[in-house]
Order: sequence, then structure tokens, then C-alpha cells
Amino acid sequence: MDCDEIKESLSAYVDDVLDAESKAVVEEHLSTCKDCQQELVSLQALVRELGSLESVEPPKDFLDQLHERMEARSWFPKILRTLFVPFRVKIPLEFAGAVAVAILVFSVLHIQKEPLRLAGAPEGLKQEKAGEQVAKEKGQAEAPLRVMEESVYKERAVDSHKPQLAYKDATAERPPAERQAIELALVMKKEIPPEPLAPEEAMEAAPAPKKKMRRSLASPQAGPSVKPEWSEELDESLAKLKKLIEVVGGEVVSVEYNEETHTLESIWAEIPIKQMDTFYIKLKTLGDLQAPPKAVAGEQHEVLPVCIRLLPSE
Amino acid sequence: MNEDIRKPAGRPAQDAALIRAFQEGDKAAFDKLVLNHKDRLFNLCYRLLGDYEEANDSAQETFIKVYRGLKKFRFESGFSTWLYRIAVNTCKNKLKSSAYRQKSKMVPLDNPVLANRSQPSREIQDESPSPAMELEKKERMRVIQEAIDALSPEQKQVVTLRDIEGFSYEEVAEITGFNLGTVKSRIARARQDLRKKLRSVI
Repeated sequence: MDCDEIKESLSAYVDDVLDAESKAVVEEHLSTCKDCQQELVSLQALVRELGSLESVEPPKDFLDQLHERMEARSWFPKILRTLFVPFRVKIPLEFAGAVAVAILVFSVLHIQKEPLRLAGAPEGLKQEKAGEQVAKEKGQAEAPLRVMEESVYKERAVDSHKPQLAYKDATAERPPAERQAIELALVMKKEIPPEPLAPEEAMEAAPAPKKKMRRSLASPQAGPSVKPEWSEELDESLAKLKKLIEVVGGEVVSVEYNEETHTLESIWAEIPIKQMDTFYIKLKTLGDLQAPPKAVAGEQHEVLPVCIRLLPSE
Repeated sequence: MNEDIRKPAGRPAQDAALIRAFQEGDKAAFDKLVLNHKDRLFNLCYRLLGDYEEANDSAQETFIKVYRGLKKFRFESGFSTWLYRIAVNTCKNKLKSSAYRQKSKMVPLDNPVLANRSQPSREIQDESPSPAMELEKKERMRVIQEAIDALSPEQKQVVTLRDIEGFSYEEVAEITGFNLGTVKSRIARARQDLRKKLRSVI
């Protein structure tokens, strides 16, 4: 090889990515050629210089900035889009929205009654809640925007209970009210011993937490029957339900707490359509599930809004 | 022979555990991922863009894209490779945007926060170099960064990833999408160009 060819190979030589044969040729040449030796030295100096360039540090509050950016991102553009859609499109949309609200209201009222009959829970209370919802929803013409605001407000109101929901996933798509939500009722099993999972456990060995959960479900606690404590059980049910939802690739949108009894009443979530069957099966492991007939319309890649009402066991 | 001055901050096992935790609902695991990788990622963006604010913007955007895609991450490549691929593309797009092309890419002398953070005006601490040395160091960095900025985008990518960030040739190939042969020749060419430009300082 002549000097020009050797020089072209020097870069690879410096990084030791030449095959053995080429490497030998280069080394032999270097042993006698001062010119190429110089080249090598100079190249090595450059690489060393580049490698020892001091790092430029990010701002100290980089993570905080990131959180702010993510939060700003999650629902602001959606509001913008909804507000600034051109008039021609907007008015029929609003009309459709109003119609959707009316349908939603009817179905909420209608389906509400079934779980009430089953559970024998204080009827007055539940109907009052439904009434509140109806009043709120009827009063507004811009359904998609408002219902979404509501669920965000509800989220904020119960923020202390679930810090994790502060990250609204940027990919969350339609707000629940654009499509009719599927209403489910779940009567939680009594003897599920609660075992919330600490984040450190989850991090250390990912498969392990799942096993733990199964074990505890399979072996109900022995000993004298303890009077079920509503608040604790249901609050821990929230953690379980959240896990179920997220495992099937869904997302919790909002949560309803009963302020008087401090219990969880319902969870709104979005579940990918193709996971609905799996989701139902998983829910059944937690208790008795009441669900409407499964005629699920929609394309396979979409998500369905689902409302799970939690009912105390008798 | 070249030593690996900067090994990739590869703790792939830890990354994998954090990702799995995130996929199972632990959102705090994402924060830990960010903390583990942000310094190196930011430095890369800075070297590719030559501007502190733009680097910050690109680094943040990169992590947002990571957040969005992390749930579906399938470990077909290492996390590190995936992360840096996103960063390189984000920076590349930024460089291509017309708004950016008009911006001056000069690195201001008093700009970036260097790792040891001493300013010429501060009191001399025990181990910090003298103000004169500090100034010289900054000037050197500025000149080098200018030379890097003047490279073609592809050359800049490969030489930054290889010589500044310490990735292997294979990793550079994975991150940039160039094949190995192209990576080798581009690195050789980039180094040649840099040597010409930097004869005065090196």
C-alpha cells in the first residue's frame, strides 16, 4: 500500500476496526514511514481532544421543565383545536354534541337503575349523584369540551388521592363523551386482602409483583372473618383496577369519589377495543361483573370509553 | 490506539428494569430514566446544534417522544440506541428548519455551563484552574465547536457520536441508520476535515 492508502486507513486503525491483515500492513508501513507516523500522531491527538471536551450540562431543573412541557402538552392543544375549528364544521359538531349528550344522559339514567337494584345500596344517594351529572351535562351545548373539562376537574379535586394521574398521557385521544361509554358495574369480592405495590418493588424485579398479586388472590386470609372495612378495601381496589386497566393498554381518565363516605364510586377509563374481552376477564377476577351485551362497534385500533361503577359487596 | 474515553452510560439492565416498571404503571420510573440519561443526551444535542437553548429544546422534545413511545417499546434495540436515534433525528430536523438556518451558530464565549463550572470572575477555589487557563479552555471549546458546526450534517453526527459520546461503530450505525462502511468512511473524512481546521489548536 502506498502512503495515500495508508493514510485513509489510519482512522479505522486508530479505532481498531481494521481486519487483522490490513492492520498488519499498516503497522509495517508505519514502522518505516515518518510521514505516516506524523499523520497518525496528529490523528490521535485530534481524537483525544474531541474525547476530552468537557461536557455541557443541562439546566439544573431539566426534569421540572420536562414535566411542565408534558403537562402543557396534554390537553391544551385539544382545547385549541376544539375552540378554533372553523364555523362550518363547528356548528354541526355542536349539534351532534348536544345530541350525543342527550343520548348519554338517557343511557346514564337508564343503566344506573340496574346496578342499584342488584346492590341495594342507598338509592337516594346514587340517584342524587346521577341527577347532578345530568344537570351538569344538560346545561351545556359543547359536550366534548365540557365533559372533558369535568373529568379533568374531578381529577384535580381528588388529586391528593392519586398523584400518578397528574401525568395526562399525551397520546390520550378522544374525550369520553364523543362516543357512548360502556357502563359496567363491579361488585368487589369481600375477602381480597389488599397488597398495594411499592414502586421500588416494581422496579427491582418486574415479573415478581404480578406473582404476588396472584398469590394473594388465590389464598384468602384464614382466621375469623373480619368485618369488611369499606374505605380501605375500595381504595386499594383503585390500585388494582388501575393496574388492570394499564396492563391491557388502557388508561384511567377520571375517578369519582363519594365525599361523604370517602369511598370510590366509579372509574372512567379508555380501553383498546381489541382488549375488551381480556379486560372483562380480568375484571371478573376482582368480583362480580355486570356488563351490557358485548355489541362493540368500532375499528380495531380504537379505544372505548368505559365507566366502571363500584358497588360494595353485601 | 484509541482508548474509549467515554463509555456509553450503558446500564442496560437498569434501563430495562425501569422500562418494564413504567410499562406496568410506575410513572416515576420514567423520571429515573430521564435522570440517568439527560446529561449525556443534552451534551449530544449541544454538540450537534451548537446552541444551548436549542439543545435544551431538542433534549426535552426527545424525552417527550420517548414518553409517548415507551409503553410500546419492545426491546428490539437497546434503549440507549433508541433514545439517541430519536435525539439525532430531532436535532437533524431542527437543523433543516429554515428558521434555524438563519440563526447564528456561534458559541458565545461566556455561554455554556461546563462540567466544572468555574467562571473567570469567581474566587479561585482549591482545585480550579487559573482564570487564564479557564479562558483558554473556553476559547478552545469554542473553536472546536465551530469546526464541528462546519461539517456536513452526516459527518457531524458520526464524529460526535463516535469521538465525543464514545459510541462504538456498530452503535453509531444503529443510531444513524447508515451502514457500517459508510460510518467508517464518514468518520475518517470528518476527522480529516477537523484536523485541517484545527491545526492551530491541536
